[in-house]
This record gives sequence, C-alpha cells and structure tokens, in this order.
Amino acid sequence: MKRSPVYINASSHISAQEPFCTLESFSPISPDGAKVLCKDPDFKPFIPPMVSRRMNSIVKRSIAVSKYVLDKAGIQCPDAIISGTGIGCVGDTEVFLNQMLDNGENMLNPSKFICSTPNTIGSQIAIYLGCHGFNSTHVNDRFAFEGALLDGVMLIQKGSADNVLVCAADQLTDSLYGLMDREAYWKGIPVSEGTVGFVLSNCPEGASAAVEDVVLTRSNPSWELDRMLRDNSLEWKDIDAVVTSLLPGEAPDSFAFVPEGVPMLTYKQYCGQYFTASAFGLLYCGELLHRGGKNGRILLAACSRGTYSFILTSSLCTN
Amino acid sequence: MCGRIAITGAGIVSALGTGLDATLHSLMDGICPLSSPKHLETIHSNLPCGEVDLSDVQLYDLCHEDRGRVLSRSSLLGIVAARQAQEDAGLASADRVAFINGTTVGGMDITERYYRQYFQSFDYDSLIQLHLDGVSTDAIADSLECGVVFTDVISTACSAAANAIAMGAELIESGRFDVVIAGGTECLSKYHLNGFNSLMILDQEPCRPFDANRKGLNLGEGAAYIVLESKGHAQERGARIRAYLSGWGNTCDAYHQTASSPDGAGALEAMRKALEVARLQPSDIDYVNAHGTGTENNDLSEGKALMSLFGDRMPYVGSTKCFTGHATSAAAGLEAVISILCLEHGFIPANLRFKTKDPGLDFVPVAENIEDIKLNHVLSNSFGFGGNDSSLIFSRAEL
Repeated sequence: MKRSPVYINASSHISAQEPFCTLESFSPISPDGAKVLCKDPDFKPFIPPMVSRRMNSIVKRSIAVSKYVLDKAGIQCPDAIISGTGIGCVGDTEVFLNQMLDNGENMLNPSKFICSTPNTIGSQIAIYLGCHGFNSTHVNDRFAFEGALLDGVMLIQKGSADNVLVCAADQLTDSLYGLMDREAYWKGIPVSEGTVGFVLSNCPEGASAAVEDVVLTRSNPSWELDRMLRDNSLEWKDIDAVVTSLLPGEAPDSFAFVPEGVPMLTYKQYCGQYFTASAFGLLYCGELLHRGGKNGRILLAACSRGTYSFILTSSLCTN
Repeated sequence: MCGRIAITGAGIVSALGTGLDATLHSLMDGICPLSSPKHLETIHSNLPCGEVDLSDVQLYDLCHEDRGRVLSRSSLLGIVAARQAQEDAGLASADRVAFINGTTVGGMDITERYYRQYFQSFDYDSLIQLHLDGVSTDAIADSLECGVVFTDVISTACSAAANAIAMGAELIESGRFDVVIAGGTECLSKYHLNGFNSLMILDQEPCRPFDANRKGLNLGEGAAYIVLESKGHAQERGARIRAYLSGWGNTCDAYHQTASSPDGAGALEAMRKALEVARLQPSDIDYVNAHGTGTENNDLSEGKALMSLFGDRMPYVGSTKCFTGHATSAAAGLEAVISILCLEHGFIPANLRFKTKDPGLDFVPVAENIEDIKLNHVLSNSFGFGGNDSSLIFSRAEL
C-alpha cells in the first residue's frame, strides 16, 4: 500500500561533526582513534546555565538540538515528541549502579536514579518546551531510531499529529566504550555518540526531503525490500543510491540484494558508530537530496544481528 | 473505531500466578501475594514486593530453556507470558507477527550481578550485551514459534506496556501488520528497588491505593502480552475474540520528572483521548483499573483527574497493584490482561486494604470483590516517570 509521504521540515545534530553544521562542512572523523566524542556547542543560547548544570549531557544535547530544529521549522511546541535511544542515560545509570555496588544498598542518593530511565530524554524535552502532547521512547538497540521514526510517521499519516519532533540520542561513557569494545560490539572505525533531531510534518512547505516509507524486518530482507518498492510503485532504477550502515571500506555482503550499478554510500565516516547512528544516516540522506536537485530518491538501509531497516527518502519534486 | 482491534490471545505471569486461570482465581480469592522478596538478593527484606514465586532455575525449566544460556529474568518472564499469548491465540509459524515489548529494567539483573566482574576478567564478556532492552526483547521474540518479523521496544518507564499496546494498534490500523503481540515485561532488580527506596516512595507494609493513610507503593514484577488483530482478520481465521481494544491515549504531563501535576492534567487528557478514539462517553465506562500505585502524589493526582472526567457519575474504581505490586514497565500489560478477565467474567477485583476515604477525593475505590456484573467498557490507566501518561479502553467481545 502506498502511503502519503511525511516531510522532513528541519533536521540537525550534535555529533562528532561541528555542532549543527551542514553537509558542506562534514569531514571524515579520524579512523585511527578508538573513540570520538561529541563536539558540544555552547549551551547557553538554549538552556539557562542554572538549569543546564543539573542536566546530564545527553539531555542537554537533546534539548539543544530539539530547540534548534523546532526554531528552524518555526514551531514552538510540536504535537508529539518521540525519542529513540539504544541505551538511554547510561552515564547516570552507571553512577547510581556504582554507588549501590560500592556503598551497599543504603543511603543512596536518588538524583541519578531519577534521570537514568531512557524516557528522561523525551520527558525533559517536553517539560522544557511545555508540550503536553503524545510522548514516547523507543529503545530497540540499534533500531531504536527506526522505531521512533515509524511511530512518528504513523501519527502524521493517520492525521493524529501535524508535526512531530523525533530525537535520537546516545551517549558514550568510558565504561560503556570499554565494555562494548571488549565484546567487539563495534568493529573498526571510531565509536562515537550523538544526538540528531528531526521535525516531521504533513506539510511540504519549507521541507528539505520526504520519508516515503519505513520498514523494519527480521524476515527475508530482499523479499521485504521488493515489497516496499512494489508498494511505492517503484523499481530499482528509480533508486539513485543506497546509503548503508556499513563502515567505509567494509564488504557489502549483508547488502548483496542491492543490484549492481546502484551506487552505495556510507555515512559512518562522519558520525562514527553508536546505537542510533542511523538517525545521522537519515540526516545525511536529507542533505544529499536537498542538494541533489529534483527527482532524487535514496534508500537508507541498516543491518544488525539479522534485522534490517529500510527508509525510503526522496527529494520533494518527486512527490 | 470502537471494536475494530480484536484481542484474540493473552498471557500473564505475575505475583498472582502463571496463566489466565491462576490469575483470575487469585484475584477472586482476594488473597494478597505481596511479601518479602525471596528470589531477589537484597538487604531490604522489610519491603513487601509482588515477586513471581519462581526462581530463575524454575523459570528456565518452565520455558524449556537451556540453563547454560544466560537470559535476563525479564526475558524469562517474557518468554513465559508471550508463549501463552501465542498459544491462546492459536498463532502458527506462517503468521507474520510484530512483537512490541515494553521494558525498562531489561537485563539490569544480569548487569548488577556481574558488573564488577566485567572489569576484572574476560569470562563474562558474552553477558554484557544482555543489558540492552533490545537484546532482552529479541530473546523473547526468538522463543516464539509464530513468525516474528518485526520487533520494537518501548521504554516510557511505568507506562511502557500501554504504549507498546497502543503502538501495536497503530501498526494494525495502518495495515502494516495483521497480528501484533504487545505488552511488557519487567523483573525486580536491586537497582530499581533501591532507586524507588531512595525516593522514599515505598510502603513497608502492603500498599493501600487511594486510602487516606497510604504510605507508598510496593514494587512487583511479571510479564503480560495480548494478541491484537483486526476484527476482520480474527474472524477470517476463526479466532476466538476475548475482547476489543477500543481506545488508547497518550499525553505528557510535562510537570516534573518524578511527580504528577496536582490536578492530574496529563492523566485527564490521556483518558479523554482514549475515549475520543473509542468514540465513547465517560458514562460508558463501567470500571477504571486505575494506575493507583499507593503513593500520596499519584493517587491524589489520578483521583482528581477521575473526578474531573467523571464528575458525579464515577464508575467503579480500583487498583490491582494491591495484588501484583507495581510491575513498572510490565504493569500496563498485567492490567490489560486483568481488565480483559474482568470483562469476560463479569468481575471487579477488590482494591484491597482500603479503609479510610481520602479527604481530597470525593469517591472511594471498590473495597470488596464484585461478581456477576455486566461490564461493557473498562478503562486502564498507566502513568510513568517524566509524566508519560497513557490510557487504554477495553470493551466486551459481545459488543
């Protein structure tokens, strides 16, 4: 079934790149370093210092990015706020866990516990903006962003919301880096962190690109992809490029179903690896489409542990 | 919209027992299972909990899982409940099913047990990723015989399972999936027992929701899932319809990270939205399965919201957390299944231990079991940290 497209009215990021920068300023992050942390902006224009001091870095970044994209889209309070995060406020979780393991189960300070649930991100954005609308948080590992995006797309397609803020955020701590590295959860290329925000809307005016479909599957990826193309009355020749979750230079075995001749691009050279990196991938697709002129169509594809996600994006003129 | 999303299966494990029959009988018997934690290793033996009275070893056996494979207790509980739901609905391997799980604790029970060892040796490396909610969820999805082709995990703290169920309904309504298994799982962990304890909102006695002298909540654990599909799809495959999910609403109180607004604005709006989706009036609701945690703040705030919505036509109100404890991210799943049992059996469980009316509220909860009552619509509330408020409406199958 072909569904109405959902427009990306604004998108931006705090990541390993310069904060809020656009495609022209992207540069590959050092491939030899083990990890690359976010380049934080000055938070003062977004959050009063008194308030900001009490916030953990993931919440601070998420509020700043949210404010930035909402301003760009000219929206004060979105109809819905949906967050995606693989591991949430892991820094505060570690502090409370260590307190408990070091000091036993007595005299614990609740302040870090309070901020350790993943939905702290979305609810702090809501409290900060005073938004009482729909609010949810998706935490499905490396597909947490796709879950959040699908949730937002469904709200707009159904008419339950005119605009939705989707915020994907993950943070890297020394311990998390050490543990995930040990388990070879990440391979090659720097491990990083980042926050990417999108304003989705039912209105093409002022939009940079459109999301035409979102599919997440544990089933046969090639079959699901064919169905997605069919549903959208498309063929492979209509796809200008596939942007994948592969690391630069990695063999594209897991995407063997992409026909020869379709250009394959990567984005992790810009943002590194983290749970919700595919949000940066969507931002990258949007930037490419926005600059590529009319009739562009890019498929964003990710693969992890046998699950695939496909996000079909297009420039506005095709709609 | 009313009646379009059919519920064709349910599964549950909680302090009340394992399975629908055990749950119903425990509720009808009115015996409170809250007690000192037996399986969770904690110094807080003074804190009553709604613990599932099965050790991890017993859960492995119940799941027919290899004890050599480490699984979080959340996964084990989830496997028990999700398999029941799948069997109850008669799902087979050919069905393309989406699985939406609500969880927050995830594999924290494993993390808190081995965290120190992770930094001292390489022997436990394979356990590290069990911490992730997504990994806990995949373990449940992998254990099901029906074809789970899509998983998603929602973590809005204590309303997570309600949002998982609502997401499931949206997936069906939008035509993306024919069948969805949705709900939540949460095991007790030392981490969140101590977190709630440090917030000083745990009652050292079994909780007393809506009572003037309530002193806080008791934590619980469990897992519960329901099987959702469109009415047409259910009828086509000859599935028995237990009830309908006729409404769902989600709002944000946006008031405080851990406290509800004094007037319950977010809660009121969530209930209104659910009624709007269901195309029902407040007067259509026969029973409210309240969030009713037993904390001073929640019960007053929720009570005020109920008063604003229902005015002088207050339906029966009760909290079943006085039986199950507060199973946080699984709570809305447990209460969804309990609400369905109430509709099917014409029954409202007692809000145990209620004695004294709260002077701030102009209603009292159901103090004793009510049997042989025809219920058409049950509204179930679930509110989470950060003001994530959600309401679901379940309707009788015959409607």
